[in-house]
Order: sequence, then C-alpha cells, then structure tokens
Amino acid sequence: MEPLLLAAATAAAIIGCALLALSQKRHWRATCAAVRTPERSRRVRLLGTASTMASLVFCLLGNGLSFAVLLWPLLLALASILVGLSLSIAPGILRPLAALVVRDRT
Amino acid sequence: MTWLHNATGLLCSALLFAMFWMGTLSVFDREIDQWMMPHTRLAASDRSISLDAIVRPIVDELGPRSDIYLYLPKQREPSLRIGYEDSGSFKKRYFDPWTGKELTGRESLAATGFIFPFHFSFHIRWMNLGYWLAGFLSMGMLVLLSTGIYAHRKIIAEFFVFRPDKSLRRSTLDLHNMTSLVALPFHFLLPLTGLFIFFSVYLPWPAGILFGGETEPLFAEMYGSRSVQAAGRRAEMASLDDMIRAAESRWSGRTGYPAAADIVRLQHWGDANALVTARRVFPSRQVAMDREAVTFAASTGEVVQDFKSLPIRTAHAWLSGLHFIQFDHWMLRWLYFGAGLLGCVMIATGLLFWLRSRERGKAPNTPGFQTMAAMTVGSTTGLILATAAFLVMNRAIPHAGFKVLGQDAASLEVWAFAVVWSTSFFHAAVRKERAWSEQCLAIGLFAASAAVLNWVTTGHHPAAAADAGLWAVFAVDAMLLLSALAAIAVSHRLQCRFISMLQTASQADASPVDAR
Repeated sequence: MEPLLLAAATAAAIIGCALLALSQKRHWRATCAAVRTPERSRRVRLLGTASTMASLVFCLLGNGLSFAVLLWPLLLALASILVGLSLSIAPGILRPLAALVVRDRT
Repeated sequence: MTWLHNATGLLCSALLFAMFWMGTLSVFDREIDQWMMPHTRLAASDRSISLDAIVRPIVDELGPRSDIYLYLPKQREPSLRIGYEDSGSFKKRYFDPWTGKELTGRESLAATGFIFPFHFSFHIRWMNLGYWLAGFLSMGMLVLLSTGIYAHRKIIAEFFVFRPDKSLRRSTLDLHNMTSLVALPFHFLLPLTGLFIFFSVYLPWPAGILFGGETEPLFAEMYGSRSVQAAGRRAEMASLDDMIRAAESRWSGRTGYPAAADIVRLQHWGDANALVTARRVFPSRQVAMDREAVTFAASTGEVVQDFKSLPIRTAHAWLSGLHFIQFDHWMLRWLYFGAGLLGCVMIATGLLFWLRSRERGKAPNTPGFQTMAAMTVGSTTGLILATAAFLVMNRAIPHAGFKVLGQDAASLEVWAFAVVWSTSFFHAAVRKERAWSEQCLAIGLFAASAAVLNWVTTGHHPAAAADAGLWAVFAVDAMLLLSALAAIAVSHRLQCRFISMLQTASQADASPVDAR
C-alpha cells in the first residue's frame, strides 16, 4: 500500500505543478490553443492547487506526519523541476493535460 | 537588498558550494564507504545476530576498556563495526556479523571519515574554527535566500521559466531562479537545522549557566548518557542478547512496531561496575533521532536507567534527524540527493550570473574579475574533480602497506584531493574560459577511471555487484558512469561554444566595418 500511495503522491504533485504552470499566461500560450479567460485560468489554478493538496494527503496516509512534511515539499520540488524542464524543452508533452482541463463544460 | 545578496554571495558562495556538495554526497555516505572499503562489502540481510556468540569473544579479548562501541549491522551498513580508544586514537574494526570473522583491508577515511566531516567542519579542528566557519556560511545561506527573493523580484511569475535558447546570461539567471525557488524550503531548513545541531558550539553559555559549565550533566539530560567509575574487581557479565532484547521490547511497546537498537556502548566491560547502554540513535521508521536509551548493569542485566527525551529535546531530535537523514526511506534519500544537487546548481549559477553580468566593457581585464572567475571554476568543477581524484586514488593504491613520503594510504587519498583541488584554481587562472571544458573533461575521465579501477581491483563491475546483492557498490558505480557521461557531454558543448566564440571574434577582427 505504501509504494502505491507514494506513486499517487508523486503523480498528483506533477499534475498539480503542471496545472499551476499552465495557469500562467506564458505557459498557457505555449501549450494551449484555447483562449485564456479569467474563469478558465482560475479553474486550472484551482485544479492545480487541489492536486498538490491531494499529493499532501497521499504523503500523510502513506508515510505519517513526520515523514510527510519532508516528503511533500521535496516531491513538489521534483515536480516543479520536471514541469519547468518540460516547458522549456518539449512543451508539447503538457498539451494533452491542458486540452483536458480547459474544455468548457457544455 | 540586491547589494547584500551580491556581497554575501561573493563572500560565501565558494565555500557554500563545498558545504552543499559534501553534504549532498553525505546522503549516500554509507554506500560510498562500502565502495571505498571493499573488505566491508556484504550483502544486506534482515537476519538478527547473536551478540553473545559473535561480539563477546571479541570484547573479552579487548580487555578492560572505559568504552567500547558496537555499531550493529543495518541495511545500509551490513557489517558489524566495533570502535574503541586505542593509543590516543579511535580505532574502528569491521566484522562479518554472522561468522564473527574480522574483515581486514586497506584503511580509508572514506565518506564518513572525510566527506561528511568536511561538510560541517572543513577538517579545521583548531579552536572549533571549522564549526564556526560552517555556522557563518549557514547564516550566509539564510541571508542569501531571504535577500534573493527580493533581488529577483519576478521570481514567482517566472517560477517554471527556463529559457536555454536565450542568451547565456539570461538562461543562467533562469536556472538560478528556478533551482532556488523549487527547493526553497529544503535550502532554508538544512542550514537552519545545521545551526541547531551545533548549538552547544555556537551558544555554549546557556548550558554553562544551567549546568555550571559542565557538559556531562547537559548530555545526561539531553541524551541519557551515564558514566561510571570502574570498581577494579572482575565480575561475570550477563547476556548481551538478553539486555538488547529487553531494551528493544520496551521501545517496541511504546512505538507499536518492532524497534531495534543500533549502537551499544559497553563501559568497563568485565568490571563489577560495568554498564551496557543500548541506543536507538538512527531509528529506521522515524525522523527524530537519538531519543531513547536503556542502560543496564552488565553484571546483573538489571535496568539502571530507561531514558526518553523530554519535549524540547524531542524537537531538537526531529530537526537533527531531518538533517542527518539516516532513516530508511529510499525515496526521501534520493529526493534529498536531488535537492542537494539543485543547491549546488543554485550556488554555481549565482556566481556565473555575477560574472556574466560583468563580461562586457573593461571589467573582464581587471584582476578582481579574473580572480573571481578562477575562483568560480576552482570552487565548482575543481571541487568535483578533486572528489573524483579522491575516489581514483582510493582504488589506485595497490595494497595496505603502500606509502609515499611516509604517508599511508588514507592520507594519500586526502593528499590527492587537496593537490587536485588547489591545482584546479591555478589551472582556471591560466586557462581562463577554456578551464570549464577542460575540467569537465577531466571530471568525466576521472569518474570513468574510478568505476573501471573498482572493477579491476575488486571484480565488482556494476552487473557483478548487482548479482552479488551489493546494491551500494552498484549505485556508486552507476552514478560515477552517469556523471562521466554528463561531464564529457558538457565539456564537448562548452568546447563547441568556445570555438564558435573565437570564430565570431576573428570574423569581427577581419571585417571591422561589416561587424559594425
């Protein structure tokens, strides 16, 4: 169970950081064809924050408070570096995620 | 704030890089120890050992001594280590924990004896100057981080921004900002906890007031240390296994999971007043370290003291454990290693950005700029090269008795480190811009040589090491080979860039009108 929660925490941290990056104007332009409206931008930021919080919850469930407070910031650091490098080298990697979250609910 | 950031950076960065680099390597200190001392290489096992069968014959043979320390085998250090004072120095001996056979071989300071102490004391022992220097640098790091957030105002807006295709100056700043910010809590906590660990060096006065200047009662209060005088009468000793089991069952009852002792102190073993203290210094499943100790009367096996730290010391134990990272959590260990490398990149790019910002005009010809440029190369690539030389020398020394100018094998490794590091500064001063690519190439060659020499001298190439369950050796070799590839690739790229710079400059010289 512990490795699964660790994997979930890592995945949630990466998705969360990617969404937080996409909510910024510069990265939105590089990865998303849709128009950046304030409502869409807010929604992406909210989803990003929720995903990083989910990562914290997975860390707490899998490792307890003592380890989670160390693990979570370092997972976010890893996720931020991965997202930053993806955006600078191959922003296309994040396009499917951007397309998924900016779809209007109609 | 910007001037303070620049001034502190210029003053501290070179040594801060050394602290970060050595600290980063110390995350895998036990693994590097096994690599550098092949006679201690054993496959990790969860089997418990019998101290009565294995240790008693050894300590009985050692005779009456005030202190003997037993470092019980763990996953990251599978051999049994026994340490004691001998002729004025602390002697360490390694044993196979299941057969009791002594593991002898060439001595080396390795990571726990050289790299780790370098991280917090630079091996300067005179008047604790090394500790004070490390404390000053830690304070400098905290100032740099606080002022950096102000100096690089757009840091939040550009959180995920790295533009390698822009100018070198711009991409250096991007990398500096990114590496500082993504691991900011780590970069902030580690120097801070380092200051907490050595509180008794930096702030000795409170202990002086409370305990009348005595350190012994302070340590008794903090760590449950207990000293005793020898009675001078021999006595039969109780079972070591029974005492350790009794301590472990007390801890397991409190924690709710199996808790194991890792360090056992034997005081005046064989004497009627002898004490045995079992400690859980580095618990495998918790961050806080060294909070519990059970002391027994060795002649009867009765509990004399069951120590558990009080709340303030528990907070100190958590902060220390966070810094020492000796718990069993491989994901966290690798994340610490990665964050440590990010810290190194942050410091190096900070220095580089300062240089790049002053490259135009007359500044590059001034002695101040050239000194700073040489210092940047020597303190970054030079230090990495010196570390690689340390490892190469370890594997290149043919046998235990080998000496050069009276220096034994362990000293020769340190000499190799010191000579290569100091030479790297002169090389940087002479070769200027070319020094970067040349030192990177040397790092690549040294790192690859270290891995090959390990294969030649021990037969443990990465596949053989993995096959024998020697994952520490496999990991160190793999990291050496990866570092070699990365360093050679960087060297090639820097060389191409340098050639293109020279071509651009010569074209500009050849047609000054066109160039204008």
